[in-house]
Amino acid sequence: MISAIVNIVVSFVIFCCNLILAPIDLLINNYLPNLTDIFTYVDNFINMIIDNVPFALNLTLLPTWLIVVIVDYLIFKFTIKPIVSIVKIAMKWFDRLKL
Amino acid sequence: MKKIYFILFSFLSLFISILFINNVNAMTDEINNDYQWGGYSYTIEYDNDTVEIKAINNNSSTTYVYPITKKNFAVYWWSNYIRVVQTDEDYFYINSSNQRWVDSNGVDDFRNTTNLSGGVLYMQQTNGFDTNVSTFSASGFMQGYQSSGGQAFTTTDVLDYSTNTVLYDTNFTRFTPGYNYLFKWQDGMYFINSTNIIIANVNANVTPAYSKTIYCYAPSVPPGVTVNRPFDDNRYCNFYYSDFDNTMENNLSSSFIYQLQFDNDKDGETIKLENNKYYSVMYRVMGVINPLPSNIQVEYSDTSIYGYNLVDVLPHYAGSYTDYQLVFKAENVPSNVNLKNITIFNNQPLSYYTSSIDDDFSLGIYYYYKFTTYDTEPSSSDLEDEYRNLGLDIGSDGDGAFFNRFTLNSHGLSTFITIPLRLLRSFVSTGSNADACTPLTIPFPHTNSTITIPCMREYLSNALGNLFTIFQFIVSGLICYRVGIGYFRTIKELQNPSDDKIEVVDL
Repeated sequence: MISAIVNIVVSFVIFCCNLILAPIDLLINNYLPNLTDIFTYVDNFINMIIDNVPFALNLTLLPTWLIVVIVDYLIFKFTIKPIVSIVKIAMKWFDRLKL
Repeated sequence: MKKIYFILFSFLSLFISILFINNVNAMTDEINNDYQWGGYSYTIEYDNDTVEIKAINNNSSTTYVYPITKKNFAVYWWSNYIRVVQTDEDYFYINSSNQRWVDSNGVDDFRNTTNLSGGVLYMQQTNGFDTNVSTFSASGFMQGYQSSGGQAFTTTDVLDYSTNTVLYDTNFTRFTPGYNYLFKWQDGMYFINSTNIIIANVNANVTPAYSKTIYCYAPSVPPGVTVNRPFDDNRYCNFYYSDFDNTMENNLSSSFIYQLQFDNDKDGETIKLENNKYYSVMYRVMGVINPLPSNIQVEYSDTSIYGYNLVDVLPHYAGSYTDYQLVFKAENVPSNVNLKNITIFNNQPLSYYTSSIDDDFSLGIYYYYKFTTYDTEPSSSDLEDEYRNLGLDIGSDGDGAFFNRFTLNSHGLSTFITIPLRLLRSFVSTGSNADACTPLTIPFPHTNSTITIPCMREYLSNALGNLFTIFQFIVSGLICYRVGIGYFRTIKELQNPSDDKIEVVDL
């Protein structure tokens, strides 16, 4: 569940980044074609790394369910504090509104 | 924490040592295997009513002719003998005591025995591959796995046929769309069914038995598409494989074939081809290496077959699979018949695949995507748009896939901005689909050869068996303990009411 939410959020942010930067990308693509090539090489390199993430995780020899547990734990660890803080801020606002 | 790392490192070193020892043994087996073939090469030719086997070595060649009188026959190796067994049934059975193939009456109906030092395996149907004979099965031992859906395989789905008299029945070959299948076989295992062919080696007299694995992906049919299933059968694994020599390969077929079978388009409408129009078909082939298709053949519901030359092929390579868009032009199309299926030919010989893949491999099936009609020849940009509009990952529509369908050109500044996010998404999606590992193929520089590194977890699991399970048990316990402590610590920190600060560095 947490993984699905994070995935959706990250996909949305990536989509927004692409959308906002689309005009700049278009300018670079049209007027600095060599720079576009460099970006493409970097992109291919990153894609190659991303494609091999499952292989790297497999190389840890850990069972599938344990990898899921670790990923969920890390997501929990790095997201719970901001979430709790946001809830606390929201409660503070709510208390002030009541006054 | 240092102690845990030390223990993990020690275990890893131990297993690497055992693995090295196993590799030394494997090299020895390979040498023995070459010797046991005794320098003989074999050719088998089938000519309607006879099978001719020619055994050749440096000094002589001997030819053995077997008359074929029954519906199905098989030529196989057993204990230094070439045997031919025939039956009028659709299946062969395994005699439980001597592991030979027998017919439905339990008769080992071999016509001749010839003392040959070596082995060869071959099966053929009397009417070729495209007949109404439903299934052909035979020999060896086989394990089949059917996934419980999606991409993952679970051990509870294992169907072990190694102890059964009948190797496997027809139900097992009726692949269910949306499910994936994995086959493992050892010691001379192979099977053929009529339009779907799987032939596997296999160095029959090696001890320990040589094994390979095929991952067979049954297609997940998009909503609204009815797939034509010939002979009332759900068989979709239209691939075959052999590591026989080239002669055997040529006897079977010179082409690697995918067959798309459907009778309705995406919207459920009957497909009729019209003359002088262009049609594009999108499909997915699972496999590490997939060369471009060379030709297609269109079959109608009246069973007529027509050849169509490809106009354009647009591949989208994606590591473990390739999405293809084929464009062909219809000419001399008969009227009042419906499109039945499209067979896609690939003229690369089997050695193209087998020389590139040394161990387990996945090769197989398509996902049928879409069938589109154009009045004029579509441009590359038209096809790109069509592909993009369809979504880049229709086969596994998962979390966040909605946004993928609106992918913009990311070959710019946004590439850098989104790198950490894409990596994060990759980890998250991999965590929920951690069985997605594909063997890593690395090309040697300045040569045509490659080295393939298998997925180590599966490789070590096969090599070490229970030892690996114990290793995983211990490591899992240690890590789960550490994760549990981490959960408690994080929750305890949250209980501090005065701590409402977010440390940016921690993020």
